[in-house]
Amino acid sequence: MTDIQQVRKGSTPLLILRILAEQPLHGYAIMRELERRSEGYFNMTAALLYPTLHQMEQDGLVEANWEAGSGQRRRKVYVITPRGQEQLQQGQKEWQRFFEQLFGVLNHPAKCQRAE
Amino acid sequence: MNRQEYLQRLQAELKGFSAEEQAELIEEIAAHFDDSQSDPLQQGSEARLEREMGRPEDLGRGLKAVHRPKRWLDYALVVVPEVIVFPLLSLLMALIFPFKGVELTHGQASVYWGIRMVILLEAALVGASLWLDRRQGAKGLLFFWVPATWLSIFSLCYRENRWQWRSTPNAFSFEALESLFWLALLAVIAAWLVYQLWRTRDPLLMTLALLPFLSVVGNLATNQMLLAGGFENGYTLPNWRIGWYFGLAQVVTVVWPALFYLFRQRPVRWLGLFVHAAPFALMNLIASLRYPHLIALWSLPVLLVLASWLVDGLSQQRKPAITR
Repeated sequence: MTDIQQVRKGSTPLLILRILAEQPLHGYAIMRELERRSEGYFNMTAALLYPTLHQMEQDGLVEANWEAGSGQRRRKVYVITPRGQEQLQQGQKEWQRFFEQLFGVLNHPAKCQRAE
Repeated sequence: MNRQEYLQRLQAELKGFSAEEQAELIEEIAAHFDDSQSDPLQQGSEARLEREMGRPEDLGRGLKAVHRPKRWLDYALVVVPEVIVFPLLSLLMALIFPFKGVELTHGQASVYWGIRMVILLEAALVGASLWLDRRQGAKGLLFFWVPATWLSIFSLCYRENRWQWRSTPNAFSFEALESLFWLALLAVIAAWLVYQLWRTRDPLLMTLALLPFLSVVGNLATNQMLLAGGFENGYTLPNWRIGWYFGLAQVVTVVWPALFYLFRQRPVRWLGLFVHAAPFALMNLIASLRYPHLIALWSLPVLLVLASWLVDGLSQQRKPAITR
């Protein structure tokens, strides 16, 4: 896995929390919303999404409730918890600081010091 | 692959979950399929849907890694060999090769074959741990049996005094080639273990793997002191301690893996490691009052658990919340 893939994977729970902070959603809708907001950049597979959601449920960041969907099918809808809200705020600050520092270093004007 | 095939393959991967759990997981994924197929914006080929879903085997493995439906299997794979298989093996070896009362450690047939059988069984347990780890993540099991196997091989070479290069070779020394083989095996296992621990970088698992090495340090140091004549009247254990040792060993062998393997909460798992390390260290400390120079060695396992627990607490606090 490349470094950027690791960063993408590491940021997945935060992105999910951000989407769920606005409204409770089921897995498919989370995936589509994430894809729409990132213009297709965060196009994760179900094989990554559902284990992440279940892990977040175990960590108490989200809660899941079964709700009646269209027809006979029930859907598992995920809701952000107060703990998830807290993590979202903290995570946003941490990622923001990370990227500020990262680009601060990357965009720093290069000063070539020649040995006298 | 159509919906039906995908769900069938996923269900095959979910063995180990209860029927209700399986049904619930399948229902959630089936709903995802239905939503995708009825979404007017996402109409397309089967290939697109397949790409979007990922492999059912990967999804099943991911869910297993989260839910760990077979944690009892990890527990059984630690406790059953320790409590039943190895004691039975010792008994079997003693029956096949009755002790004639001459040499206890050098060349006695039951010891000679016994330790080889133990290594063989432990190798099988390492294989089972590797398999289980690939299927659903079982690092805890792996980091228990790999150090145990390394120490058994080390014991074969060291305790039986079989190194080719020991100062005074005896009739039971290995041939040079055999010595090289065991030495190479020890080096490979140690390198692999260090690499895996470095990749994991989890203080809990690192402590589990290092604990047996530190426990052995006390035993080795005591043996060396005995051989060097370091104790005037030998290193004798009081009778009460032998009785306690036996009873305590049985209880500890069953209790610590229960806390470590069956629970998900880190504090409980740390408690399991503390139960693993503390009782024997404390009893040896009591005995060590007669041999104060060994106190530091006997306390090493307990100190390791306490220090790692503190480091773990600090690193959990420092970690970005989202990756915790």
